[in-house]
Amino acid sequence: MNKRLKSVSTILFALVISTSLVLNGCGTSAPNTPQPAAAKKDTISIAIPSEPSTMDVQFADDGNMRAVADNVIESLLTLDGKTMKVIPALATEVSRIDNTRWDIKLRPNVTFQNGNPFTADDVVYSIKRIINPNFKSNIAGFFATFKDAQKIGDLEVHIITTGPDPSMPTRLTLLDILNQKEMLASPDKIKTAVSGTGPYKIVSWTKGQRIVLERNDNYWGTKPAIKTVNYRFIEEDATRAAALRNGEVDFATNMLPEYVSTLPQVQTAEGLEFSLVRMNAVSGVMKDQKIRQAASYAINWDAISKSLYQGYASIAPGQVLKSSYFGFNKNLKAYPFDLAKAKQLLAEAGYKGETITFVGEQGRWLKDGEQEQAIAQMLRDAGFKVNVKMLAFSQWLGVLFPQDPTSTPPDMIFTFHSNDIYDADRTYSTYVLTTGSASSYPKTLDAQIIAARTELDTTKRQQEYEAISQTLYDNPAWLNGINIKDIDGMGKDVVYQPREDMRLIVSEMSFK
Amino acid sequence: MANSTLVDTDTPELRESRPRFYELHRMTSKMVKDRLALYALIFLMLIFLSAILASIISPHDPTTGDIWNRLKPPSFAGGYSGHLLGTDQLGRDILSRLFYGGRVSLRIGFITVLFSSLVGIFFGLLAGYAGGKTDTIIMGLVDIQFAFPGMLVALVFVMVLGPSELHLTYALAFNGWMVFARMARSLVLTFRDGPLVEAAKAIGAKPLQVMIRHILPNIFAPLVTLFVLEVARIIGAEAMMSFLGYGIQPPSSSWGLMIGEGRAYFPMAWWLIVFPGMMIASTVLALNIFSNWFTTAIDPLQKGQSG
Repeated sequence: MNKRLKSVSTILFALVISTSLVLNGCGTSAPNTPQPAAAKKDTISIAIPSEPSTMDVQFADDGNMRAVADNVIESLLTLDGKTMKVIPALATEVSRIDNTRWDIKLRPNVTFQNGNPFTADDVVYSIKRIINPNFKSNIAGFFATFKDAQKIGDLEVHIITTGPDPSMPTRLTLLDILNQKEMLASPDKIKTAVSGTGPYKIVSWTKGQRIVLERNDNYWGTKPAIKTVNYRFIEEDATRAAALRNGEVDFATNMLPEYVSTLPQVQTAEGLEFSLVRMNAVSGVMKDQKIRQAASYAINWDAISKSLYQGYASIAPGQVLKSSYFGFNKNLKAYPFDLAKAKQLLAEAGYKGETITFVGEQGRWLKDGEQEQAIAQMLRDAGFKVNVKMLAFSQWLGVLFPQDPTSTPPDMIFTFHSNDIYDADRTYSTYVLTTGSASSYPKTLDAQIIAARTELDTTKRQQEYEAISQTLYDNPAWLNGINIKDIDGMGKDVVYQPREDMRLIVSEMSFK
Repeated sequence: MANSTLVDTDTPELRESRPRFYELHRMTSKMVKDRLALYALIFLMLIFLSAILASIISPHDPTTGDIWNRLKPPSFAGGYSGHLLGTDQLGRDILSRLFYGGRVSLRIGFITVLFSSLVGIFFGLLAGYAGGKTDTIIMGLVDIQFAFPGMLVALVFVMVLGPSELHLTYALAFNGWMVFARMARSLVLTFRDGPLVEAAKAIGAKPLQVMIRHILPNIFAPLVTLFVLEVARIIGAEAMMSFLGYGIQPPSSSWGLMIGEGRAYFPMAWWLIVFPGMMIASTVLALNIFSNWFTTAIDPLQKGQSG
């Protein structure tokens, strides 16, 4: 009898274990937040995939942090949400004095949220802080050309660059201006409750639960429609979508294409992220140009964008640049999917089935692991012998950006690349220039890239980049992948058009 | 009930001299009587067979998918007849992946527990037999390691070493040996001062001989039960780790990884999660039922009880 009882309890035990495992997959919904039943809705709940790691915008490269901080802290210049043109923000005028010196005029009568006035001291402090090598900012690369900043007057600053820098204004859209007085008085505040000049201020951050923002009524610009912003952190994609469907949140970022038909409202933006598979053109099997070309013909990007991404992706036009970026070559087109040609090139190159190591990661970008597996299979179909090595994100990062420049890069490594300054230099000086942090390409293009980077004549500079892109097309450094769209889910009553730069700007949101 | 008198006079010496086929016969007849255990055993055998024969019985290659035919439902729910249980997020056949995934899940379950049981039983025997300081130190270690949450230790282990099947096996074995040590020790204590050990010592057996030749065979049955239970636990743990992304890495597959990879699609493709989930649940359940039956079947004190 005792035994029967035991069996029953065992069954229960096993069922609890296994169902809890399965339920983990479906995701459990977090407790419902009561929505105030006001006549005119002015509170928005936004679900983001993960809790921000910090609020130190100058240090971290963290999209979840940006989703909050872009509403609190401002930069000298910013991008227009619709046209992506550089427009004034905290600076009213940016002009070049000579090849290495820029004059910045600052907006008067701006105050930080804690009441401190915004002055040239804040700008100089912010620039010196982020370019300080000891600070080891993760985004210092954007400001690699910055040498120094000098206060000229209370509302005027000079920025000195290491050489001619045509993309200086775009770099300024990424430079967050901190509150110097607050930083010096309480240096730890930046990690949580930083006060910026933006349209919203941080009211509270309950770790593990939510961040609440409140409208800054002293904001210098247009007063936003929404008064309170409530950020929730929901990691599972399916759970985030479910929270939106249930009305627990009004806005959910990073939706899967498969969810689109089930959500109340969906808006998309042409994102910045291009997938690419970097190939080792310096050593190993892939050193042979024909083998790299064969790989370029082997991938059916059409299938990946239409089926895996359900059409929410577009094929890179023979380069990982968009037509709006500086240096785009309009004569290039994506390699066609041509299995016969790929096999023929492999035969010509004398490929004998040497193993190709394909390094990947998963979970960082939409369907990255699946895209990698699909690419690997297509390479196999063309006759490559591929060994996929999935690494944890930090390890993968160490392979893509090796600390030791003499280490041998893998034959292939998958990544997503986003060009935040909309300029070909960003891509080529990272992935092609031999001193670039992620380069595995011979130094044949080095001189051209450096020349184009410092060229101030825009027509000439454009031509130089077109030539570089053409060379990289014929003698590929990577497989040009797809540009994935950003899908935001929102409640029926939310009005918002997602931006191409993927910033989440609450002041551009409103309710119907 | 018929042989209850024999049971009461059962001593280790007597049992050792008893013919083996008699034991086997007794256990088989018990098994047939206990329907639930019989079904569990049959199910486990099927799972083992499908894992071993995965390369023969799988209708498709588990790693090759047709990307144009993603997320197709099972054939009985309106999908293709070629894919009995549907296709996954990359158009791969779920049924074939279940067979191959079972191979990985079972392999990790058994190898891990083999490791942890060997280490655990060794230290348990040592602690129980030697007593004194050795006992205090070993059991102290066991207590310390028990104080850490097992899954967390395993996660940190794999995060540091990097996710792979081998590292996962190490990590899970590393926090599985303690229960064997504890059990072996407590079993040894019941034998250490008994006449069997006295006799062995009297004829001049060395400590190691006493432990392995005389004590171990007598405490083996409960350890086998524990072994089976631990395999079930490790299969669940492997699934959890793979689900979290710190276990098996694609393109190879395990049941837990199938759930992990498919979870984002659950709202529109239930078959990605339900089938591997059912496999994990039923395998763990069958192992539990089987071990339960094994305890009663082998335990001399429960021999007389009706099944």
